[in-house]
Amino acid sequence: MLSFAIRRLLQFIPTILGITLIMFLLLNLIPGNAALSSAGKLELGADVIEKLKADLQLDKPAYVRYFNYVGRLAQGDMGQSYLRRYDVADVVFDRLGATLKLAFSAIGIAIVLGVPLGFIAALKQGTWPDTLSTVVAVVSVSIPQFWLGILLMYVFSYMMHLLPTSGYGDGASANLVMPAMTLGLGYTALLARITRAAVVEVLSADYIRTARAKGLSEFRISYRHVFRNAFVLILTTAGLLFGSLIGQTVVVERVFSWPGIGSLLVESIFQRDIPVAQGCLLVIVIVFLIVNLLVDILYSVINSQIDFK
Amino acid sequence: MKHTLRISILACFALFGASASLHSAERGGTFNFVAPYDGSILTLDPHKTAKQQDLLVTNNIFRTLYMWSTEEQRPVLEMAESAVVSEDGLTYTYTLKDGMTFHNGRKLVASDIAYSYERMLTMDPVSPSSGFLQVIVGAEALQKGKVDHLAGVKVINDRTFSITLTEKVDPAYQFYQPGTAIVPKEEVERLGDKFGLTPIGSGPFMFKEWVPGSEVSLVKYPGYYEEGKPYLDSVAFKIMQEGASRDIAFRAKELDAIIVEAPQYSSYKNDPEYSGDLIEVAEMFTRLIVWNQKYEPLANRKVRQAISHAIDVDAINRKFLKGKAYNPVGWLPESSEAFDRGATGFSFDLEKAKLLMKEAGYEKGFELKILGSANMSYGVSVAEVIGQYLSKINIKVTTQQLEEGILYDKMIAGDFQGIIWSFGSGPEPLQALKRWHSKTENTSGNYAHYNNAQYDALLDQARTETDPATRIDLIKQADAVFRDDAAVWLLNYNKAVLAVQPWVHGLKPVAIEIMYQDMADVWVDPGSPRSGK
Repeated sequence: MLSFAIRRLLQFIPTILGITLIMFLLLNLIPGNAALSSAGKLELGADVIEKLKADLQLDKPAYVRYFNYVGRLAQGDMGQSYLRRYDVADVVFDRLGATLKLAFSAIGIAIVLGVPLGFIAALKQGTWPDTLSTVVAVVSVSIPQFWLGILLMYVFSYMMHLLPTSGYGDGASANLVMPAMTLGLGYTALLARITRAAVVEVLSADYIRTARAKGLSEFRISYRHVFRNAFVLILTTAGLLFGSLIGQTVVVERVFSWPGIGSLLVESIFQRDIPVAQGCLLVIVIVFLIVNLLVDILYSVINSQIDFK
Repeated sequence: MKHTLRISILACFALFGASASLHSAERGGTFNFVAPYDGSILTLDPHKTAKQQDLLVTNNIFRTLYMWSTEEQRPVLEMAESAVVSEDGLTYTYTLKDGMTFHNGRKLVASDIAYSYERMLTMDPVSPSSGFLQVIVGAEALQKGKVDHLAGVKVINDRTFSITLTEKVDPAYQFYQPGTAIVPKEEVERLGDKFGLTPIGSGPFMFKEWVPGSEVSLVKYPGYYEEGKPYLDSVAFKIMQEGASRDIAFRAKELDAIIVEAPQYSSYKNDPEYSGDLIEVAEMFTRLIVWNQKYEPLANRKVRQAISHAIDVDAINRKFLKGKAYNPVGWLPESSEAFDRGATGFSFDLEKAKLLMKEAGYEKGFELKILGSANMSYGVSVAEVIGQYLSKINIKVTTQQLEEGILYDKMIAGDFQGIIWSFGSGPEPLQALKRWHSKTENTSGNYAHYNNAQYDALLDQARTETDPATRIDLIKQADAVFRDDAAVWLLNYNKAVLAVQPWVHGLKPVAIEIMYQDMADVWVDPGSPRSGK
């Protein structure tokens, strides 16, 4: 397993290099520039704008800026924010903790609610729990996050005064509940549907029929055969969802003023603070790669028959 | 204090004065305010930012030589007790107020002013507010690295210094800008880039904590030089971009005041609980469509006038924008000292518009593309309404929604026919009108390529005029020329609105930017859930 992990970690290097090139090209193709954006509502003279461009090295050709960027990155330097004027690493890592907290909570909610819901639906195919599970899943996945966030805020903050409307506070769970619920509910539905499909597929497999023929109890079949086999697919899906979830926290972060990396990325793009946008994307990619590596490793924990070779 | 205020500035101050006399300020408590604009606070180093989102916070940590006075509708001396002007009107000798200290306890002295201005001019990257210092003798040479100090600022002793200007302008309008705040050299050098994260100023509040993307907390500075102030123990600026979230937080009493946007305005206006506690002001931002006069039909004055007559701007402001706007007259807004109260804008007169189109040779109309952002108050949705009006004079309007950064690029490149936008139009009226002077370069705002010799001459004359009344009269004449030329299509002056909880006192209708509140004047009565009582 160790050699597998090392091999995968080494594969990260070309992947990350490829990603840096793609994101550099995309971000630098966007019209507009940071020199103007940093001026805010001021209309600056052409000479000041030219000086700003030169100071920010925006007057250099794109390939020079790219090689400078990669060179610095190799030394662990993500560059300086055009607008904040301090290290990108400080800007991005200040936000990463909040995003991970939100993403883990949301995926936790999705797993805790979605997997049992899907499991029950599959085991009780065609009965009311299955129908209910389908309805809940369709409704949950259809509700826009913005609307759900505002609705939760209205009910729990304005009407019941139970939770703070927004903000990070001191990072306590009270501030986290509504953003995590808003983000997690859609993923709960997805995971419930995927769990149901995976379990239904496993239930129709020959080895389940054999297990039943051998007279194993339904609980033992469900736990030892159905759950273990279906969970590989569920885990893969949860891993992929987690990766995409980090990049999809923008709406929830904006509604709840949750200081995460998703809103930082979008802001940076609008403000043309390219170094920060690059930093955010890079961190999101790395988190995505690490989570999926962990998922691969977890396969063997769940099912020892899976071979890493 | 009840704050239903329309923009009769005099009436407004009468109200505030009367109200202030009814209460004596209470001390203590926390004020939960918002930072509502575009995204995170970027830095709290005032020299490194021009973003309103940052400056509305730094305004309360730092002080500037002058500060905006809502009562006088102009900047007034803040850090100095006096300013003596030389006979030639070019040198101002200032005496600093006694007892000013930075939050680290060190006395603020005249050399801090010289250091702060020199820092702005020698920063790399350049300070976005450095343009305001270009009126100081030697500023350009210092910025270009030709000299190593700012010749125009002379420190006479700890409390006295002089500033020599390159031309006769009122320095108040340059040195009140929040980006020209005074900073302590030793802390800037000690903290380096981190000064913007843990700022130290001389304002009424000290920096306490910043949760990036969520909140900045300030606490009362006990050594603040204005006796008895600030009243509050602390202020929290909650970073909240989303209007609907702010609305719920305010109604849940978590916030003490919020800026009200167009979608929420009518609900506040019609809500008996809050309608009496709205602060409204004609902010010094004029919303408009910039016509690119390099596009042939728009180079024709009669065509532009026809467009202005063909659109019922009052109906748009009243109905489409739900009254959260003031009808325009000229470029200068109602809160400007040079606003011409006797003047009127273009009347809605379709027949006259058709006649003008005929006289211009465009009876059959032409195609016109208007670009704009997604902004609800001055974006593409408004341009689409305008298109309906212009179809009556055979102008076929198409619209395109673009992101603001792209719109800026297009404006500077001149790659547009019309762009719907919002520009600052104050506070200094001559400076505001200078945007449209033919010699003003594109990046400085003359995106319309407007060129009128009479307009230029009036502004040039006003610039050298020493008599204030004559100067204002010249500025009014220039504004009239611009208006009659229909150089741009004027939509409105922004009606900025604050919704305020009934326990809040001391917030003001700040015309330069309603969020630039001086929290030193604000207090909360025991009705506040955060009064500390």
